[in-house]
Amino acid sequence: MNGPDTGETDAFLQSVMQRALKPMPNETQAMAARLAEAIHDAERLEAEHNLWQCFTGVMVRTATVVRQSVSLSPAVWNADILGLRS
Amino acid sequence: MTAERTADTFDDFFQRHLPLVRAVALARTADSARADDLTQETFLRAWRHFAHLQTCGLSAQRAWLLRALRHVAVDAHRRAEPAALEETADAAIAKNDPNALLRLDVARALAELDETDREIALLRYFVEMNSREIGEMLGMPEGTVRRRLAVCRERLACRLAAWSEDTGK
Repeated sequence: MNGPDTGETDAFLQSVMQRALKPMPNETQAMAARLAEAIHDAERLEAEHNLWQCFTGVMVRTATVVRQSVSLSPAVWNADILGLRS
Repeated sequence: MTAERTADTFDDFFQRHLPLVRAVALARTADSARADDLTQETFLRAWRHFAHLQTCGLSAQRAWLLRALRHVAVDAHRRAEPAALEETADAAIAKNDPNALLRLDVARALAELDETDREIALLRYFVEMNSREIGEMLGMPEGTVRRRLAVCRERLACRLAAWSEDTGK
């Protein structure tokens, strides 16, 4: 495939591939719609993940405060938080 | 900002690159449904990295998408069994698409090439890039692209010769 044949072969392959592989407008639309849906799902999952991270963050901070309360003043923890009276 | 830099919306990005990504996916799988899955997953990854991709030139965006597609295809291959080619041929005929058989034959011919040759052939014949541009994009010398392209040309022309009358060449 050298010389003049190369140009002819290139033109043939170009023509065949354009015809075979170029997406039709309806295919492009369908894929765009499908991708939009997937992006919407990904955004929702990300929002849920962020919310969960926020919730667990609050829980960790609360637990830290509770632990500090316990270590600083067990009497207060027992009496005021757990409602135990000696 | 370079002259090639593109600052556009994700929809523009999708419309611009869809033909190449889908063609490479189709050439890799020889199966429209699987090619659509790979295409979607590739663009979903691109959406997650769009802030970075917006700052890149066209060639760098293409290179990023081809790399992402390779990773997506490897991940998908680990999860699924390859479909029988006869099944995909039947599906193509059942779609009543006049180009379905041509598409399948071209995809199969490309699927027989190794990964780099397949990308070189698509960038040359589908995207119509020259050897220098392909070499820059894939990070290989222009001479190497030319040599590999010569082998691809011969193999593809031989494999697709039956369609030459159909295209009037």
